[in-house]
Amino acid sequence: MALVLATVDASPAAEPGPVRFNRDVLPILSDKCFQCHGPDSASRKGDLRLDREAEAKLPRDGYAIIAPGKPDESELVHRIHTTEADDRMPPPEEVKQLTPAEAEILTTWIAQGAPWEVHWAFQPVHRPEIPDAGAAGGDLHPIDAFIRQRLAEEGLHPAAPADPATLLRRVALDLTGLPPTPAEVAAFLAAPDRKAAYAAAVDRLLDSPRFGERMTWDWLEAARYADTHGYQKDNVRTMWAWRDWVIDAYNRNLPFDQFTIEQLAGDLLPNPSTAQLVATGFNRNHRINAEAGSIDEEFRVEYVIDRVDTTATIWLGLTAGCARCHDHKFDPLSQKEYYALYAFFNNIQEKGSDGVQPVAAPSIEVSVPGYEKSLRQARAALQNADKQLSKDAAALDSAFQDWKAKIATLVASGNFWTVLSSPKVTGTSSGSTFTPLPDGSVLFGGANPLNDVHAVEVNFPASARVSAIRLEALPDASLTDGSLARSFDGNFLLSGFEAETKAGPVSFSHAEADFSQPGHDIRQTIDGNPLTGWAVDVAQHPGETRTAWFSLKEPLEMAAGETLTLRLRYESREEQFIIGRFRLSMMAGSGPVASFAAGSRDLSEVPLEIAGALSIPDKATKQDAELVLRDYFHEHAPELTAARQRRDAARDRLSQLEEAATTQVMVMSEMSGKPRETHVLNRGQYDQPGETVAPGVPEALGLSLPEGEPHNRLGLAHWLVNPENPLTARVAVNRLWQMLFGVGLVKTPEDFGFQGARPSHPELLDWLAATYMDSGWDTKALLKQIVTSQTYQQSSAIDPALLARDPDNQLFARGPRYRLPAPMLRDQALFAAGLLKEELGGPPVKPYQPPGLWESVAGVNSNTIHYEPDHGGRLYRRTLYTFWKRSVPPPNLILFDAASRDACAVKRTTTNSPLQALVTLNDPTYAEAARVLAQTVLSASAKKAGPNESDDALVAALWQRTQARAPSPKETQILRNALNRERKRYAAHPALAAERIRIGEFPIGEDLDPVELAACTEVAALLLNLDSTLTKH
Amino acid sequence: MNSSSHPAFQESVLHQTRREFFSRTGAASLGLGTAALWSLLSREGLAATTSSGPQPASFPNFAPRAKRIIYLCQSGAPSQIDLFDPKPAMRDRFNEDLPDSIRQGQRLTTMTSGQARFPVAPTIFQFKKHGQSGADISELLPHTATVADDLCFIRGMHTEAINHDPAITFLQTGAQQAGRPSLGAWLSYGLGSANDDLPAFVVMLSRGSGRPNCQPLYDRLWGSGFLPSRHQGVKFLGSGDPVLYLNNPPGVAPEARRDAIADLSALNRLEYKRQQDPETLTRIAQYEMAFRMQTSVPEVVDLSDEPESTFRLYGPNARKRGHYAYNCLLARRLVERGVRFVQLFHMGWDQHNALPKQIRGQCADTDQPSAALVADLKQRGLLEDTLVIWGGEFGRTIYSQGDLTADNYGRDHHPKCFTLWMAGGGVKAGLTYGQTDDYSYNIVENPVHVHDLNATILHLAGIDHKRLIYRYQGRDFRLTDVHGNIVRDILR
Repeated sequence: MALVLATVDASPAAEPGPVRFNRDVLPILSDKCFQCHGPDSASRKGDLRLDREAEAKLPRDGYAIIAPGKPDESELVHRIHTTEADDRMPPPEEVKQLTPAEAEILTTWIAQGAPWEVHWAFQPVHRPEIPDAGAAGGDLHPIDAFIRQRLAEEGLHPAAPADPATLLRRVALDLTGLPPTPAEVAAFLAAPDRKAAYAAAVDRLLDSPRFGERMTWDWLEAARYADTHGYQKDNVRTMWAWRDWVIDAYNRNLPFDQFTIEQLAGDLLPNPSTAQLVATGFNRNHRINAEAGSIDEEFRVEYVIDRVDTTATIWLGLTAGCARCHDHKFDPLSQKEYYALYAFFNNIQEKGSDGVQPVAAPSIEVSVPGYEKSLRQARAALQNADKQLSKDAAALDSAFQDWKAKIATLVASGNFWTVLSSPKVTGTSSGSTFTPLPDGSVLFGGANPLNDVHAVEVNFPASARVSAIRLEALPDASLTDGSLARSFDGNFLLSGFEAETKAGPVSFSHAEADFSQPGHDIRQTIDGNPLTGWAVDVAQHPGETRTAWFSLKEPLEMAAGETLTLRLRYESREEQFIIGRFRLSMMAGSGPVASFAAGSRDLSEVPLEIAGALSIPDKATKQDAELVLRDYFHEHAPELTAARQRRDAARDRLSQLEEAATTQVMVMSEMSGKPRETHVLNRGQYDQPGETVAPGVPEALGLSLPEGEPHNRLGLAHWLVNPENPLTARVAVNRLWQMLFGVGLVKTPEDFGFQGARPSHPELLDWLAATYMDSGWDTKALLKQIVTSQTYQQSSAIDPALLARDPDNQLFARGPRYRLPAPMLRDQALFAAGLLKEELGGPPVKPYQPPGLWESVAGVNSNTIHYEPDHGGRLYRRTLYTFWKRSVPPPNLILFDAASRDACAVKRTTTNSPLQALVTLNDPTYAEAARVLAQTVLSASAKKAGPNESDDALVAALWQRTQARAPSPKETQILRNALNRERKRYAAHPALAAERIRIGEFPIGEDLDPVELAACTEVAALLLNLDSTLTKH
Repeated sequence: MNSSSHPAFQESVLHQTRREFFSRTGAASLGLGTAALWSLLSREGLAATTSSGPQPASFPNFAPRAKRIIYLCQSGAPSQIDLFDPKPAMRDRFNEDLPDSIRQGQRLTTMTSGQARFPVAPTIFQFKKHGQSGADISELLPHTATVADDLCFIRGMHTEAINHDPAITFLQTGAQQAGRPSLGAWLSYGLGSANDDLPAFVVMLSRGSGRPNCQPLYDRLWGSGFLPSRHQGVKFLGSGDPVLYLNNPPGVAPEARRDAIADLSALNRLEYKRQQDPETLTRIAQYEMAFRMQTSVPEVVDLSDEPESTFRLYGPNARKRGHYAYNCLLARRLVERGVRFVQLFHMGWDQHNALPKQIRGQCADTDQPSAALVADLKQRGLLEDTLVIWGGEFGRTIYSQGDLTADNYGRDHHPKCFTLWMAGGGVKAGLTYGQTDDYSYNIVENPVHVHDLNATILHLAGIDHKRLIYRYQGRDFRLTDVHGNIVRDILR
């Protein structure tokens, strides 16, 4: 047989002899023939399908496509060999042609009787016999037995064991994502029983809370987790409670079957716990759109599709998405079966265009652990502050009486402003929010429409007279650059201002403002023209409040219980030119409008209820009125400012804590009532529903939904983790193997179908899958099993001859060696420097990021336009917690092949590019880590006698914090020379030294010589950039 | 190109790395000759495809007509009706309802689907015929009019999505869903780089002054999708470092960096001796290349060697970083230095209301620099084999969104027809291709789908779009999915 390959084939050795259908034939048929003769009925040609035995071997009129044992009588053999263009298969114009070797395999296979097999991955998992260990006897680890059997077949030998320090670093990185400390390395090297010490180290690593964090990164990439909704607007979402559930699940070693059930169907369990509801956030991690003009159903359908594709990839290793538009081209998954899976996820009460708020329904609020004590303290502090305020107030009785008399006079005159506190405001556009603030103003948030009309309803608790209305536009931090509006430059254009009672519109005689932009006079608000209005040129007067006054033609006499409606119209051609925070007041008096401006802003503003309280004649209610007045006085008297500020601070602290102590998270929950009908969608289009389908599972896997299982997500989850499901365990253990070795036993972890790679070690894969299931899906136990094998513990040094044969290390004749994944690179640098803040869970953090990245692409109505880096410890949290904005993911992670989080990703890719070098050389994250690493080592190292000796010690200390093994004399020499060279350079340019060590927020060690620290920093930077630092080996 | 004379570089590991690379991937037999190392390294993805997939040697499939491509993406969708597709008869139909026979039940965005009426809004701008070819160009684009005879207008462009996100994602990647590689990433993957010390695919962004509160963009639009991440577009930034992380940390002098790179090479060579991992050699080469980029990128963005005439040609904004004019000039400088694909994104074309005012601003930003780029390439003899493309993700509606007045209107998204122009690089000059109906609503002659456009761009770059394949999730993916016809009518 002509199967001579330059490098080793991933599949078991192709020894001469019988052709095997699964190994040799099916991949050819699938790749070269199924496009036209496969499962997809729509693109099938000549009414021939080769993916099913019965139909492929069906006798036709006087001939056979495949005549077992008779290649000469098989039309297939004729067609693949003929030179007649019309008959030739595949047709000459097809890109994919058979190689001569492939044609030969097909011919041989038919000659050998054309035996058929079920696709390997669809066969049930059977625990295979462990191969005979030979001389090694019973001591040989089962994994090694499988690996060495294959090596022996290839005439290869395993590599020597890795040196112990390197091994400890490897396993620590693999299981916790962090390297060992120098002390851990020293203890490991000193242990008398290396094997026992290794087993103990593995247990310690698996028990570390860092284990859950390490595992969670991979799961977040698979689950397409992010901290924004994605799509165009890309607003913030809060799903981190789900992320923390995952960390916790790994740390408590939640069995993988339960891990599966809770995430896919936790809400359908009997009496689900809050944690089980949070777990279902898994299937809400998909992107959610909020683009203006988008059609709800179009995107709702996308979310359901995403759930099917993600679930199929993660649990089944199937590329189900291919069957969205038509029957799968290669695998036995029909379009109808695809929509049967879709039906499981199609019954959520959700909207397609809902990505504005932090969560889209359905969602729940959960409490964040760890706040109990601080909440108690904050409540006590507030109580104390309240008491103090009351005490101070009691001492001010005469001042209160004076004020009361003064205000009574003012109220009698009618010349005071009454602030309309917390009025009811509505906009014409959906999704906007109006938040009342303590000063009576209203903050406009949420959706930011192009145009709008804001209607303010004022209810009069007591009768009152209104002769003028005041409008203030106030600055707010949430508005563009702290201005007056959310428009692109913070300006607004009020095109109309109207008042109306039940009697009809109210006319204004006059309008005046403290400032109007030329051409946009305040009087244009009452001119009836929607295209003109009041604007205030914010750019010229940043941060200033603007005030306008409108006097009524005739004073209004409002009776108790009546309503006055005010309308702020924004209907000009300017977009989003809408006042972002406004406050309205009324005046009863009838002085000329211009004089209103002179009014003092504090006590001469009298709220409606105070005016009311002063005019209450009834003795019975006078008591209450007195309380209202006293309260008001307490809140406004200047003498009480200090006590109020203390009380306000305590209140703010409590409300901040209360806010932090709860978080929202999107979850799955079934719609009540009749389930939403699911249809096959023709060409996958949301607006082309075809026949109706019921929830169901693909037939080809040979396992139907067991009797009695509900036909919902819970039934689906049970079906996935059913021991007879041929895929779930195989796919799961393959990902764990990939995590440790860089490449799976099946090289395509995302595809176990016909087009996927075949396993390099099928028996080992099945043994691992069976072991995993038999252990009760014990993930920690399986990982321990693998990392304690000799195969895992081999040296990763590369034999060039072996490299040529097995470049991807699919035979595992050497240990794993590849560049660290993105998060480990950053975590390792922080850890080596002693900067890493080890703290579990919580809201995402924002470490250093080059300025301007969000700004350069974000739309103005997104709430993720400006990236503000955090400070203090939040700069040094594990990379797992870094805020993930989908449209602009963290560049120093993306450049190192982190997944984008737009869609499910389970395959690891590792590239090597100059832009990566720029990150670890120049990113402040790494530049600071190098500096802090240097100062940590310098502070610790006591200077010894003799410059050379001390430099060697210094270099060794730096080395030890970044490398597991000891440096060679040659390496020490290069680093020592570098240290001396940089010392000289910085001594000659002390200003440069000062600059070099100022990088980053972490304080500079004060007692350190800047030149020495800068020089040492450069050496530390070298160490952080070494290939051996960047690589797991 | 190597700007360093440091001893460490005299015994550069580059050739050694290349040999290692060849021996590892079997690329030595592929006849890639003296192609730059970056491009070889960029080929990893191709080399890694299955034996049944295309071989690296298969690109280009034929001699490229366009050795370089500059794609001026007008994000937000410019109005074809006001720029390139005159419909004088519409003047008489001002404020009439769009006939159902024209609309044909076409779905609308929810921004206008609730409108009671769809009143016809003729353009208020004057059109004239320009050049010997008599191209129809609006008064908004006087500079573009001067290069009319170099341009090929495709009036029959059409696409599928009606919202920006899916539509621009489709234009860039051939799929409405996120996650596929962008055109530039495909080109980088297929062809590698033609230079030693700059990326193969560069992206630059600018905000329009016509509508500053514009539609956003997303990094994935120039991402590599499932292709190896090195194929993603490298952003040349409008502020800060010209390329992310390009500059040394403060206090690190260039000579110190040069010495550090030499130290790293020496230490990594020791590591290689011990471990024999060819990736280590690649890393040494990548660090050297990073160092060269630290010189070559500042050099390319330093415009001090440009004569005054350049700025007269491109306009005064060509001196200002982050402006479209600057980006156009930089695009020319980049392709001169062997960057294969430069893509500009200019935001602000999404003019739902106040279109007349906003489009004036956008045209003021883009007209002169775009025309200058074509003229400049031509005078340098580069237009012949440089393809320039100008266009957005869809078109705009003839009917007004919002109130229609004599001098004001807005237009909603319209996927069923739009105009895009191309120049140079093997495309017929002075051609207007395709026709729309009286309302610029439906295409009546020579439609060009986005897949056709992408197939044609790849063809001009010397690539058979059916052969540029990457297997992912068991499927052989293409930029053009299973579609795409080369628009041979527009090829020279």
